[in-house]
Amino acid sequence: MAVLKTLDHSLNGGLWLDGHKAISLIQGIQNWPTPSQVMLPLLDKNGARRALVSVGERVKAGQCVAICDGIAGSALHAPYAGTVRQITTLPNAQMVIDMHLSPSSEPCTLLEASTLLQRIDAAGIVGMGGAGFATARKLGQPVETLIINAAECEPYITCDEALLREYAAEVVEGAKLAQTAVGAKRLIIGIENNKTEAIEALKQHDGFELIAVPPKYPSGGERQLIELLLGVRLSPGQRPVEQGLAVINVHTAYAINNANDGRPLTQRVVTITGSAVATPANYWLPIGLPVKVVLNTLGIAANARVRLGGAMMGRPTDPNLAVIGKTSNCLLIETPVDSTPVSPCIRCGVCEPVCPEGLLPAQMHFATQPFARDMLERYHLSACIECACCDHVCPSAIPLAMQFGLAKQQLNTLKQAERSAQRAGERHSAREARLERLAAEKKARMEAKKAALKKRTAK
Amino acid sequence: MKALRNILDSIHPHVMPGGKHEKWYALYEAVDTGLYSPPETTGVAPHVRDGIDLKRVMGYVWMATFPLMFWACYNAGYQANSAMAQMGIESAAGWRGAFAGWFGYDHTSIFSNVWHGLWYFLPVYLTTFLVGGFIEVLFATVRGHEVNEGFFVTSILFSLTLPPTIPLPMVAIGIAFGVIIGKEVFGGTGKNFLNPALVGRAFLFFAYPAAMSGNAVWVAVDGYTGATALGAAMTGGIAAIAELGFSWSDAFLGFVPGSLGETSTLLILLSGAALMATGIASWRIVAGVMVGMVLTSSLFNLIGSDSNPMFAMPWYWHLVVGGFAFGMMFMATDPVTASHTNSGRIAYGVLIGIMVVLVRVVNPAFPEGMMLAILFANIWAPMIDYVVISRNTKRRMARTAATA
Repeated sequence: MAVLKTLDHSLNGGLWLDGHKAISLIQGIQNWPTPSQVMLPLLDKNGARRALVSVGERVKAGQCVAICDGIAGSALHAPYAGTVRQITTLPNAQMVIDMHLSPSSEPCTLLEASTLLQRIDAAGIVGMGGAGFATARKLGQPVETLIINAAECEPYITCDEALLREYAAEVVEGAKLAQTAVGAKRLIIGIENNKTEAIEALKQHDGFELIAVPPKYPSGGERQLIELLLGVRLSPGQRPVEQGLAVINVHTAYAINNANDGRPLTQRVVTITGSAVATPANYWLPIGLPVKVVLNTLGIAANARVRLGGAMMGRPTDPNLAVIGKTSNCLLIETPVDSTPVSPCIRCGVCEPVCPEGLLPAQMHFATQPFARDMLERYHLSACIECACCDHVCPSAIPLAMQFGLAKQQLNTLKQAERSAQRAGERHSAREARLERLAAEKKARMEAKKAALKKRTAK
Repeated sequence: MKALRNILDSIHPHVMPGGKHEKWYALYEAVDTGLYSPPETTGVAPHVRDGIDLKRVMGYVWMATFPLMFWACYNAGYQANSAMAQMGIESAAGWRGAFAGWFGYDHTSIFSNVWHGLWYFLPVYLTTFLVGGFIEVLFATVRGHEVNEGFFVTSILFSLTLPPTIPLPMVAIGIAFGVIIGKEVFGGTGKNFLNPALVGRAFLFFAYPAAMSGNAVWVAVDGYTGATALGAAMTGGIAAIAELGFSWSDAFLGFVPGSLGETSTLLILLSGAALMATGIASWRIVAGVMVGMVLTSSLFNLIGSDSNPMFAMPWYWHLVVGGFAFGMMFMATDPVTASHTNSGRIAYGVLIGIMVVLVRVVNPAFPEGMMLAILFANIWAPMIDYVVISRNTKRRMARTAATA
């Protein structure tokens, strides 16, 4: 029996939001009928994948269809048996393996790997809370403390809570496996104190510290949770591993347990909720399921607005192009409503006290329009976690988090260009130096030869 | 209302891009969204949003000035009617005389006072609104912006800072200067660093001192000279105010001559309290102004002076004379031109409090310290923020260095 410890203090900044969570937790996790088609995404933000299958090839359920050569990316597996119809690029620049599914009695292909880390890698497990970083790489670096992030703080999202209610044993098992893999002394599960059923389910198990945090958004942000649980504040840009910490999501822990049994990551729990959904619930959706299939199956009106992710950090999505990925935790589907038009910023400053990172969103806003790099760096744009608390309170309805996200991308692109220019410069000067050295050596050799010749002729 | 909606809907296609009157979209939009909530939708994060929006913020400030508008009418009329009774004048001079006397010139009748005062306040406000509004729409149209509610606030605050007898052409020039030079040249709402209403007032103050200061402008009766309490104090201290027949409670309640909206400290404090309660006016700025004023005036009380009677003026007199209360509640708290960090707001307020007493006490030329103090602090606000942010950054660097 784990003992629950409840924290009294909440994070700095942030917001007490209405969770809208109960509506999708009335029923347990539902199964999804086997679709006739999946579109397996080759591109995600942690790297492009290389398809291992060719058009027309027959693919077994659980077969690895694509791998990533990059360090942060992950492998991709077919959720069902079927045939590759085409490998194509969608209008939103997403490359997909388009598979037609055909029922098959063959069992799921199991992973072949000896160590746990290799199995996690082969199963294509990534941080399923949103980061999407390859878990095998994260767990490859030894740390002192492993934190399981069960503080699912964003309004509407309940997939982790639903998973804990029904599969607490598997999650705890996966967490312990991860703890062993990473060699951590402490294992902490951080959960919000209003998830009572999930807490009860976790209490039935043992071997970890269970800490409840106040349900203030964004307590479940990685940096925020670390500060709440351990009192350690990461400096901007510092990664948890530099403080001897690793944080993984509940669903990731569950997937690790599966991988240990040889099963690859081919499906996940997704919360389908919002005012346009008749019966909001959590569903097991296969990775690669097109969102438009979801809308059609649930009979949702075509003019509904779809957001991939929750109410704060989720992004509006074109349902005709989007597919369920490994980090898709929620589909928030709303009937169109009136919203406030954007007005100019009057520097009222209400965004400042709510920023959990202690940034100055209003100043950063002025620095993004137009893009002013030195100012953005002075105000630590890169420390922004895009939680959208500032958006929520802005009386001018300025889409601040979106502007900051774009500016961060722009800043990264600039920095990357600078780095490659610098590398090119270094290569160039190295080449110059080498040519010069070679020329000097050649000259020296010639001189030596000449001198030797002279000496010989003088004799 | 239904009929109005129909008219607006019938105009709508003509002002959209491609319509024959598309140039007028900004004006149409201002009227339409001012009266109805707009049907246009945005599709960006976050989906859930707080209940407050900019239109409502500006609306609250505007509503908070209603009691002051009422008092502007009442007191302008009361002062004029009293002076007329004193001088034995039967009816108001000039074109106003045709309307202002409909209900008599009885300074004991509230209605008569309000009606008389209305003929001074209303022309000033209408001129401000029409000229400033025209400029606002012009800029919005040329730039393709929407007309912003900020102008409602600027126009009413500007009107309330003027003396009742100000000639209307000067009002027009003042608001034009304030809106164009104080705001639009910097890019419009949110981009200005000086309060546009105060810029306009400062322009008039220095360009037309005869119409903005002295003893002849505060009571709307030709040939009547009556100093404001602050003006009197400049020459003879508290004793001179008492000689005029004004007690502290007269000045606190607002039965003294002065600019239209600045006289009733009580109403200003009540309206300001409402603004602070809704979180629109920053209590930190107000507290800072009070603290700065109390400390500086007490310091001057301690130092004392034989030749300058203002040294002896206690803080509770500073509070009720001149534009101090009005400036503190409505001008200093303008978020665009104030500091925006929490500790910066306190420093900004204190700076205003210190400057206003300095200007009033040791500068013999200008009795109106509040306007200059706020404009001065506006200029320093970004610097204050810069210092606060640098200090925060340093403290955090030290903290992360300590934990690492």
